[in-house]
Amino acid sequence: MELIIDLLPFLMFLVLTPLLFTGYPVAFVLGGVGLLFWLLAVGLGIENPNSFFLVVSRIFGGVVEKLVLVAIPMFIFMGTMLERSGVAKDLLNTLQLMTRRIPGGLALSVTVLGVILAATTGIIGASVVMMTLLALPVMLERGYDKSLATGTIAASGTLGILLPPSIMLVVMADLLSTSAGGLFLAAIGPSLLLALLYMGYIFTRTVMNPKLAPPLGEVQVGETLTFMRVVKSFFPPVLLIVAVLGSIFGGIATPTEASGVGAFGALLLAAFNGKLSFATLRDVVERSALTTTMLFGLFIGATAFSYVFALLGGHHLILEVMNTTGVSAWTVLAILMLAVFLLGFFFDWIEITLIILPVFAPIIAKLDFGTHLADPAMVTTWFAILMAVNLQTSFLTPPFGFALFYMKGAAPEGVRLQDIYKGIVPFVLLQLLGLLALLFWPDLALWLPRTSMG
Amino acid sequence: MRALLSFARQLERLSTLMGRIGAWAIVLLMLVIITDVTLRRWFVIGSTKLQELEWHLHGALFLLCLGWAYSRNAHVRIELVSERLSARTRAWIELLGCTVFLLPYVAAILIFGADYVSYSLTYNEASASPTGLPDRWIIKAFIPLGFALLGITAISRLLNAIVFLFGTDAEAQETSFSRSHAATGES
Amino acid sequence: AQEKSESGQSAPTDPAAKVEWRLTSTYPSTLIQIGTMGKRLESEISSISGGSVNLTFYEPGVLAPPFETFDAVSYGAVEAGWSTSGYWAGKDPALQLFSSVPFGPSAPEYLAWYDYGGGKELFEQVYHKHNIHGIICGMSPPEASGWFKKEIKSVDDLKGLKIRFFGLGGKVLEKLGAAPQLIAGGEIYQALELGTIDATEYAMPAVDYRMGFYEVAKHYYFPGWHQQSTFYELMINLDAWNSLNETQKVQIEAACSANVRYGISEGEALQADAMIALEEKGVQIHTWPPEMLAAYKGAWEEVAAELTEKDPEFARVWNSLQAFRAKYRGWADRGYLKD
Ligand code: NA
Ligand code: NA
Repeated sequence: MELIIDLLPFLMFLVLTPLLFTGYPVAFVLGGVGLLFWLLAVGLGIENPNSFFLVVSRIFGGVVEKLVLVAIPMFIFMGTMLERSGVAKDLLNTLQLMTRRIPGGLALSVTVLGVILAATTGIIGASVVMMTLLALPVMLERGYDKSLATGTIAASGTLGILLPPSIMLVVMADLLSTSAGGLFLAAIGPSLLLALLYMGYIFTRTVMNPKLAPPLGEVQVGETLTFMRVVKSFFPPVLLIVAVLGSIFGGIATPTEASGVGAFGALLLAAFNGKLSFATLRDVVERSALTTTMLFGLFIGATAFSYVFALLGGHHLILEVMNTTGVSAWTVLAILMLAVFLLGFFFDWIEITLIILPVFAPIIAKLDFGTHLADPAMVTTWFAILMAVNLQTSFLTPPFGFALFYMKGAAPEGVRLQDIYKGIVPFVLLQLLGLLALLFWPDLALWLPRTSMG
Repeated sequence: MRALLSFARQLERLSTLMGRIGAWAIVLLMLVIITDVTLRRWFVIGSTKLQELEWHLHGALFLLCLGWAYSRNAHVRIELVSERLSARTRAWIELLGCTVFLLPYVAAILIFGADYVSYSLTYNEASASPTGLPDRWIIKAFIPLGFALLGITAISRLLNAIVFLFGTDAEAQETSFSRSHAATGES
Repeated sequence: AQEKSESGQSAPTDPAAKVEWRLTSTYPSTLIQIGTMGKRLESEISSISGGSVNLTFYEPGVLAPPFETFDAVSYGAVEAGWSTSGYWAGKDPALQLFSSVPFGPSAPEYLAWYDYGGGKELFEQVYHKHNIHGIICGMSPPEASGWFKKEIKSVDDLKGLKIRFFGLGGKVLEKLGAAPQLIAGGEIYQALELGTIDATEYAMPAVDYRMGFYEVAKHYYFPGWHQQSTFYELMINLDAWNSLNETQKVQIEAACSANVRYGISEGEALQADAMIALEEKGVQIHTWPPEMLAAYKGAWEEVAAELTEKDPEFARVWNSLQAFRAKYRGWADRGYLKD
């Protein structure tokens, strides 16, 4: 009996996983399984009958009241409006024309777009949904392989949480008692490295198998590349990006508020293009609201599940397994990285961060890697970035890769979850490659903060 | 059975209406952000109230839409296995999902949510910031409200599943299952 | 015998029922002083009680989101919380006065009022209304007045100043024409860096140093008129508190008394080190000129008068504190050297 009680948190996952495959909405299965295990615990007399109250508290204090999450509906609105008004399609079509001699040109352009979007938002939900809305329909229309298209978008979309601004780095800075600014600087190199790895992979794959990304065939009527066309299709989105990034870096708006600027800009662009009628607006409003609700439905289902998991002692159970006493610095690091990667299959980044960092922060600060780090005082920064890349990967790893869920919720009909699962496998391997590179060459992350902050 | 079905439609109509109204909070939210940013840049006023209004609108937005999104099938499903199942099996899954997972979860949130809101109302809770908004209970009340709408939709789905599984063929044809579970499966 | 065991709860020979409580925190355990003081209660209370009272510390968000600590404890969803009552202004404005007060007392005076001037009784009365038993369980030294991108030379420089400032101090600044902003905790650094805000208040120098604000704003002001000392609290669900025997209650109170002492001694030592480190980073450390402090104080008196007008409970606590302070001045002005 004792043993069963101790293992209840793990049992939660054992029960949850098959239930998810029934096809009932993920959000409701998460909430329901959380509640059932809580009821079981109350029935066994190990949990107090008042404690489910905190799920309401968590919905309010952890989701509703979070000002940064306001960026999500705004970016979704922006993406939906750009898609609906044809602005995104014009841009991507022109990009494809411009890059038609480069294998996988459109996918490469999408990766670049992902990096740019990542610099405007620090929340994965916002960037993955927006990338999916903007790029996926065009890529599929152009005959791209579903897996390559979804993998490219999911991976580039998750860069949003690594490249500053990033809510994840801020939370980690807080828990590690270090400056968010230092982490922001350190994350730039790795983000670009990952983007390059994605691009290298896309290029190589499409050279080897051009069917994955069909080149533009005979130039169709109206598909000629003229200077005017480039200007016409580039001008509006570039203007919008300048407005969003400009309002952040010009000190006019916080990244959260910049999302509102972007949404408003997209609305103005649609109006300017003569594409804005009341019917269009209503359609965009309703579709954005549904996509937003899909995302927040997941949040409020997951909050019940992860709360009950913590209540039943799940965190302590995990920490018990991770014993790092008396081993070398490299072994500690290896254990932590492996743990974060494995936990990433089942947990979201905030959960993992809260399990690991408070306990290991003091240990990490004292790790000694000798001359491996040019500045031994930066071990915390190095570790944070390694962990951040690892956590970014967790968005992609099934079964609980939240980026995959977000993508599925925003993707056009006919894109199935298995296409997405298949698509992300090579990108997860690239993430691991990036992680290894960072382990061997810490300066990929640390050079920038070391030289610019002295 | 017909009576059940028409009752189910009434319920769905209610949650759809509330969702479609709630969706417009997204436009209000955008306008509030723009106002805040503009005022701060050129007229500089303390804008804690506007900033709090932002998350109020955002909360109202997705909470009001919870039920509507369910009836529009916008909540993510993993169909890896389920797409190979028969329409009847899937209707059974929906029926069990509603009764075992969703409705109990909604009930729990309603029970504890009622206490949560009534506390806030009793003590006339305001923003923790003295420059913020009063009447916290209003936005807190959107949590049970949103879940009530989700519960209403769940009941509607449940009734549809019952009619689909136990009604005549003609009745089954009129349920949402014959519409959304057609050959291509759900989106 | 039956009767005796029920009424004899206070008998020290009674085997105390072992208490296993969850302690949910507003601050991460790693946050200097503010969090570490709460974390160390785990081991302190367990040792002092010989294992009879055990608290398990939970990071903010693991069980309750940080600002839901109050509701969680009040409802009994968890038994205990680590926080400071300044956050609960929205629940009961009077609670703010048990955390820190603009132009308020420094540590010895604050403690004197709390222990001997009627503060404790008022504190418990206010909290008991909300089904919480509050215990003052930590203390920290004065905070800094904040980080400013530009030097503030007169009250006019405050006009239109976009500053992130929480609580009563924010209200004071609003009176002087500043525009207090609500910036999500994590966005402060960048907002300050990019000029979205012109200034921010945060915490004590030791904490501010770790947050790296000196990288993005060079002017650091003292004294922190808004927060001369801060009480931290252990919040315990009232029913849970009442279920303890007298020994256990005294053990928790003893651990908290020790924690207050720890907070003051460690806090004072840490700030001294932090000031040296900040100066080495080239931070320009300023002291508010007397006319600025007078302006802040005048505005604060207006704010306090408004709050007293509006909320009778606030007025009751405020008057108690003011009465004590008036009396105390007769001693402080004579008893202590003024440099
Ligand atoms: Na980002
Ligand atoms: Na994952």
